[in-house]
Amino acid sequence: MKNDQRKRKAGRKTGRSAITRCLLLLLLLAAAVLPAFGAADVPVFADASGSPAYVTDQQGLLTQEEADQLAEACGEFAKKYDCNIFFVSAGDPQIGENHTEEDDRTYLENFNEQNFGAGSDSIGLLVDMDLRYYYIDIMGDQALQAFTDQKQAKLQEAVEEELAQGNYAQAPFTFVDQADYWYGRNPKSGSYVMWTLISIGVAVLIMFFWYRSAAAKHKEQHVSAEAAAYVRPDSWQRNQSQRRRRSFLINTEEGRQIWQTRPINV
Amino acid sequence: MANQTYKCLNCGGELNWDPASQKLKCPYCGSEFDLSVFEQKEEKSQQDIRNKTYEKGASAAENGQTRSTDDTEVHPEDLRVYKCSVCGAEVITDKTTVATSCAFCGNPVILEENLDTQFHPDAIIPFRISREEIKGLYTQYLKSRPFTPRDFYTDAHIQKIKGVYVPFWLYDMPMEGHLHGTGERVSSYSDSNYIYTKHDVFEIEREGTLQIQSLPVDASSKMPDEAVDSIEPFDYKDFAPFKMAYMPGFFAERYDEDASFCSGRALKRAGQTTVEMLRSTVTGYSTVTVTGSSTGVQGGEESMHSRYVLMPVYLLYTKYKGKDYLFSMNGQTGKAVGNVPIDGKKAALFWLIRFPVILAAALLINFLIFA
Ligand SMILES: [Zn+2]
Ligand SMILES: [Zn+2]
Repeated sequence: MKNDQRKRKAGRKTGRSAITRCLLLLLLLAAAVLPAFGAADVPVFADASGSPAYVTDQQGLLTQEEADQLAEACGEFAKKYDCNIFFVSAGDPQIGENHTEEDDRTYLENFNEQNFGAGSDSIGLLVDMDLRYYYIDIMGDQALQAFTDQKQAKLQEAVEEELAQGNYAQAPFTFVDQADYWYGRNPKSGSYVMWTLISIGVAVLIMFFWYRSAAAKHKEQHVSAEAAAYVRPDSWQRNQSQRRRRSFLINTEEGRQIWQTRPINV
Repeated sequence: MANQTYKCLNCGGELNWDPASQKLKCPYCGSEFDLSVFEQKEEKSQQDIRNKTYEKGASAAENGQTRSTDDTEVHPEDLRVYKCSVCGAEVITDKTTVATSCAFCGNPVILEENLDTQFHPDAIIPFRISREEIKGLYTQYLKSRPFTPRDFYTDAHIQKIKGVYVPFWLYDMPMEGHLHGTGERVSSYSDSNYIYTKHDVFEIEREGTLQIQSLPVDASSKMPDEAVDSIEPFDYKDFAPFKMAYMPGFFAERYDEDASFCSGRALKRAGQTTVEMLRSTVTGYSTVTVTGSSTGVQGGEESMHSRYVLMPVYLLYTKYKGKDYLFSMNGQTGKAVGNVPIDGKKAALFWLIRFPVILAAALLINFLIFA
């Protein structure tokens, strides 16, 4: 008898500890995933914040205000990803009469190296109104890793669409926006770690509710508290009355309450 | 007259009530007999009851017995001893049992003593779900509970399902109710400077009456309320005048909680519904606060009427890891409701199989968005 009871207790324990083990496994997994991605998350700020090299509008595509805005957006991007981003508009006066697309590319690559230093992470857009040509240069290990061929294609697509529609001033803004969007979806970025944790959380939640709905069927007997099924059809009769007791006004101005409870005679 | 049995006209075997054919069926030769065949016998046993010439159970305690032969669990002083009319063995059961089976020969035993005048049911719903169907229904029920321990599936266990005619009181009650509360309506308008919000507060009164019809409350202290409440509703169109011929092959109980004792539960349920119906008429306010309500039977509790009926329930008690679990099924409609324990190993397996898949899917979606 005694032995029997001990067995029962042991049996219940294995059931509970099995669930505990699952949770432990999950925690271990999360612990393993975190540092792998977390390591890349130490921010190192680009030193050239607010540097004029972010916006070099030699063909006057932007107003001064737009240029300032763009420079600010570039500075934020650089801070966020430790990767410079810049915009250049250039044409015959800068690159030379009868220059080719090849010359454009060389010009941008040189510009990049001279302004941001060879080997540093940076990404630049050149718009040449004379050739009606644009070019995007990406430099640096981290930036190249973040911008896979697919993501480069997406970035080009977005810029090209603006230029094709004649939105020359909008194109560099779209360029920075899209670069931000795709750089952020980078397995080494901090937001990836965050979303990985959220994914794990979502998986746990799905499982929790799945399990709960399956387990709920195991306890179904309840004492009935009402008798709605036994009301004779058409037997329901009622009287009703309502009497207005008081009315009042609340007066507000732009969300601010000025006075309350001014009674209205009823 | 000893306890009632129905004998096969062809082979003399003990007949059982067969839910599938709604006839008495011989388990030995398969012959089926309509209830009308036994009209005379039925009349005779009704007479026995009227004349009180039925066999009376002797007190088990006086006979030195302390345990029942049919698994009923009661105090020894409530046990009664009867003689099986087929094999002559002593059948020991409690004083509320109307029908049981002989533990020695398995033949049905009906105890007329417990159908005497005050315990004579007004009507009965015969079993419609047969024992053959119940096995399928029960396993189907278990399968939709994924963590059911193995022990629940064994044939030997399923054999223990008992068909019981459970005593019920059906209450007819004219209900009246009164509800009061406050409701508030808010409207808003503005001019160039201000926004004005107007609050109108109303005093709300509601009164209503309704008829509750045949509200069932189980009348046996042996039946857990939640087990029988959960398998409602019964379809009352199957009510038939009470006949003993519906009993053989099943268990039956008589009430041990009388109509006035059970009326409390009926009043509570009917009152709740009355309040809910009154509350549902309060509409058109942005906020409503119920400040009070009262319900009762129109003309006092004397105008509450009750009928004593037997309705069919299949029951299965299971002891698992020291706790009792009860499965109940409506013997007329097949509606099954139960409490089934959760097997820890199966629950763990549920997580072990599904969680990695869900997690992998979530991480993959996440990766695809970023890559
Ligand atoms: Zn026969
Ligand atoms: Zn017997």
